[in-house]
Amino acid sequence: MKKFLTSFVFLVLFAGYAAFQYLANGTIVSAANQNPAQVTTAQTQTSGQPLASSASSAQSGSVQSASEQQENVGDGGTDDSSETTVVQTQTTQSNVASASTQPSKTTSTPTQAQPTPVAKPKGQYVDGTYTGSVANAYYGNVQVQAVISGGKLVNVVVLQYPNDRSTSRYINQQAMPILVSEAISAQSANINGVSGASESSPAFAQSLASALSQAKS
Amino acid sequence: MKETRHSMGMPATVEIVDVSVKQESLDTAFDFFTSVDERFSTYKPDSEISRINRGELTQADYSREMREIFALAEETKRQTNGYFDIATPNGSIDPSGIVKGWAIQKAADILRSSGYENFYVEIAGDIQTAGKNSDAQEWRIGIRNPLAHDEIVKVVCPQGRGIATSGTAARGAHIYDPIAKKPVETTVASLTVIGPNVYEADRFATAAFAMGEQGISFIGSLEGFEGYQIDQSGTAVKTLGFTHYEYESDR
Repeated sequence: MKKFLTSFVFLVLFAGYAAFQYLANGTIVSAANQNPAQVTTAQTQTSGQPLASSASSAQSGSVQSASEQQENVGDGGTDDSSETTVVQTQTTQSNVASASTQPSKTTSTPTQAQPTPVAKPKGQYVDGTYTGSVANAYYGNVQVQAVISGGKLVNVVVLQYPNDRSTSRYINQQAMPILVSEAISAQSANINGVSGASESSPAFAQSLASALSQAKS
Repeated sequence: MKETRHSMGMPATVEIVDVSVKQESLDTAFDFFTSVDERFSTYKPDSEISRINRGELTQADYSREMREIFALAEETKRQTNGYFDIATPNGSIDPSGIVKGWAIQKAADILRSSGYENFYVEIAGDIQTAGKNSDAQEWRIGIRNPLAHDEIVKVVCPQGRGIATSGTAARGAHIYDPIAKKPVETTVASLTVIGPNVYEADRFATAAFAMGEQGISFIGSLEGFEGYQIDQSGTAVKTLGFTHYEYESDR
């Protein structure tokens, strides 16, 4: 037990050192012998401190995109879910930059997710691709394109979405946030309000309706 | 006293708990939203922004509110290395990406300066709370399941901070990959952000959602921000500090 504690103390000390080196230099310290997974697990189970995970990030080091490591930590940290996982994400400058250099967003959806116009009898539309009007979701524009094949709506491509102006390259940070993963499950608590993203739906439906009206046979 | 009206093209709710509440205070908040809409809507031909876009107004003619929004947009542009830009590709200016959170924040400021300490202001899921709710408890906000809109999957107490959610309206969404030059499927369904106030939460939720799976890391990297990101498979990823705001009813 004492031996374990001693090695654990060294482990934590090294982790702290590695994190300091990484944060101070913005570079990767030479790889340590410890297994990052062990570092994270031990640390999370005892105190939940993010330090060790930061250090293991430094170890895992290569400056490549979005390296996410998932490690099971038993009943660590959180409360709400039976399946709780600590996800340690390494956010390097380059990977964030690449994530954020996406100049525009295009989304499309399968047919079953569409508003009511989709449910009309088949053969109603002429095959082709139709671009809907730009609809105002107030905080931005929504514009969709309807793809008709075999007389049916088979795809909707979102040409404009409010988020496309706001992608951010705002990051000079060296921080490596600790993330926790869990399965969602319905809650039944008494609440005062709801935060959720469905507000662009009316604009979405409006633009789609406009595209479909052009496709009418 | 609580009221919901259709404002700025979206449902807006104002609730004031203080016993001193007057109807006119609610009216003032909703009137403010109306004035914001009339000034900033690019879809109203008579709005100030539409007149600016038609070249009818010079900078000297801009209202104080317009100057403020432009300044905030400029600040956000700087903070995002020029990526957040209210100038659209066709040369017009569209500040709507920043106006909603700002408007909620301003309405909250108005209520506060009227002496209220316990209230709730929401436009379409972006919320600023202050003080306590009508049961003299922390305001409790449910996070909607983006995969089943009538379901709540998390309850949080923002404790006076702002909360905003960004997401897609439908399943199977794609984001555009500029390297491959084609849409690639994104697994993210929604991203909820708790920030210093609703203005901050809103603008960073919007920016982070556009980053796809990277979004939650971005939020986690910002000081004073916590996030809860739900993917299409029903798995959530949250920042470590988010737990601090979670409401636990049965524990």
